[in-house]
Amino acid sequence: MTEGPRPGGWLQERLGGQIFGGFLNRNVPEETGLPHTLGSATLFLLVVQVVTGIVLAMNYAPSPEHAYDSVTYIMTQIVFGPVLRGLHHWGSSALVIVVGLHTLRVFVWGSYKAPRELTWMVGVALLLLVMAFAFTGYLLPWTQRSYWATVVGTKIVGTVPLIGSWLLQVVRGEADVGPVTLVRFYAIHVLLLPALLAPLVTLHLYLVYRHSIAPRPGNEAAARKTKRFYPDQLAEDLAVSLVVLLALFGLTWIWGVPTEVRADPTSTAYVPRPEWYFLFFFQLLKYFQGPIWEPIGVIVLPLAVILLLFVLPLVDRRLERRPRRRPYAMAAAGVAVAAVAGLTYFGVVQAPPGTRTAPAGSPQALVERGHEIYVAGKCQDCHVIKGEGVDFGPELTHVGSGYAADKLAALIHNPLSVNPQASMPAFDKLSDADLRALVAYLLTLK
Amino acid sequence: MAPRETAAGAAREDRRAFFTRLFWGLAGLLGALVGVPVLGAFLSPGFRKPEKAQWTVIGPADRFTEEPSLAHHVHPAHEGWVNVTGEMQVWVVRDPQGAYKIFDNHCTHLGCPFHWEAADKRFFCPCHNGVFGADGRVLSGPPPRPLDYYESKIEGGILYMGALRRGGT
Repeated sequence: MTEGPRPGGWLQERLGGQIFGGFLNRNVPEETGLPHTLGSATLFLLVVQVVTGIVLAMNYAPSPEHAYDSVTYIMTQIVFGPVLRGLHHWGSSALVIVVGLHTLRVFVWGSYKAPRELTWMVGVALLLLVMAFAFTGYLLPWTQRSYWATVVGTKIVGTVPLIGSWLLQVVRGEADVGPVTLVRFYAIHVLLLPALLAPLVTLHLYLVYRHSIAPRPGNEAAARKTKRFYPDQLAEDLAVSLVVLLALFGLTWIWGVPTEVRADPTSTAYVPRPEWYFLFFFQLLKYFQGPIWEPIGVIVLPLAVILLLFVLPLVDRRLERRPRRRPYAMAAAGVAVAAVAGLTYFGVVQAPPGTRTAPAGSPQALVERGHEIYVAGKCQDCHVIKGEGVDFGPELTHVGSGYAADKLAALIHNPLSVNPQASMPAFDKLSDADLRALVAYLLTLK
Repeated sequence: MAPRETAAGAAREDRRAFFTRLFWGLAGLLGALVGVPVLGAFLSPGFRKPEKAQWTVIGPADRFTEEPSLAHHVHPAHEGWVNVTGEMQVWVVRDPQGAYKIFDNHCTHLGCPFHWEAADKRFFCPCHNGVFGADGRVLSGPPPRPLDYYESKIEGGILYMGALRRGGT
């Protein structure tokens, strides 16, 4: 018979220990199966995020002037650029889902109980890290959606009693979300968080190895039958990883990365909404309002949940792992899952992102459409409105009080027809409807 | 050993060999699926075609003589996601036959900028003492080839520079 290559053999001889080889050449309960592959799928997704992230970072500029253009550069000029960005984009969502399921599986099967308390606590830290990755990475493309989600997301910190405004300044680096915030988030996303991730993942894996995989609860007798981790269980792990990866490719293939317009701090019509995995929290805050309830929903509740997750194995010390014998734990898990799912659902249903506050066809909708055209056409690269934009052409802050609609339309369509000295390029490619909308927007500036 | 145990042992070995092959097959597939796009993107600059050089105005042709002189011009360049206009310097010299040579001002040794020494009638690169003649040929020092130069043309008395060429070609 043929012996396959044995990973760990050569290294184990040279490293001298049992760390690497021992991790692979060990036995796990024979009934270790599909539910146990969630952890390795998480690890695989982390690897995908790291390698795609490294190449994305090579072609990205963390400044408001260049961030959006550099992302466009990745999407148009880099070989496999759209694939990499697609994998990274969908990978973040997949990571949140898989980490969530992994946590839930460990909770339901009571695998956090002795002697695996520390494995669970490190896992909770990793869960929080993944959320921090998701939050900081979201701002980087500097789109309308990412900008406004970050404005709102960081503002939540500002509602902390007493030190709120100080804390907000620390998180943003400035009073407003701007260039300092972007570099700050970038450094956290690509330097700080990976530096924390690497040792914590290593520790988590070591603890999994040290205490072996917890058998299915109530079936401890069967757990004495074992199978090899390598290659039997690892092959199954990789098969699940392959399914996950193919799903990411599929999502990238079908939907790509949703295109979004460049961030516009002057926007008044945009309805900010966070990425779906923070939606439940965003929605929760709609129910906690006022000087007393808001801090409770914003600070006390999340901190309590995080703290509870951390100390769970220290508080719940009964060794009983069978779900049926742990009605309170199961009820708590059920309530938590239902709450997150329900809040996410209501968050999705109420006010989708970027939706106009005004009904379609109304004058207000026309104005909001006009503002979008103003931003998409990069008018602010030559014109200033209320201090925003580049002071090259005439300021437009009060343009609505000086011009009539038809004259504005003529100016935009063909500037030379109105002013022979005009240096503004003719925007004669605008459709009539878009031109009407743009004029409607400009007329509101008085 | 009883035959039954041998059969069970063989089955176990078969299973082991199957899972080993499955593991390495999957590992290779996953590595390729992630590795190819990542490596492709990393090597992306290597696949890019050089931008086509455009004719850029240097100045009135009669401004330049057999004595090399520096010419400044604004060079629009598109780099990555940034549109930059950089001020570039080139050495312009008219040879005795009246043809114009436009030299890139980087030594062909390691790319240091060099200067014209009028007293000795030579281009001198201070980094490693590379010396070129007014026609761009290497006179002494480490440079491996004559000075790199730009294509040139004259239209309406105006000197234009075009694409960069390797010295000696």
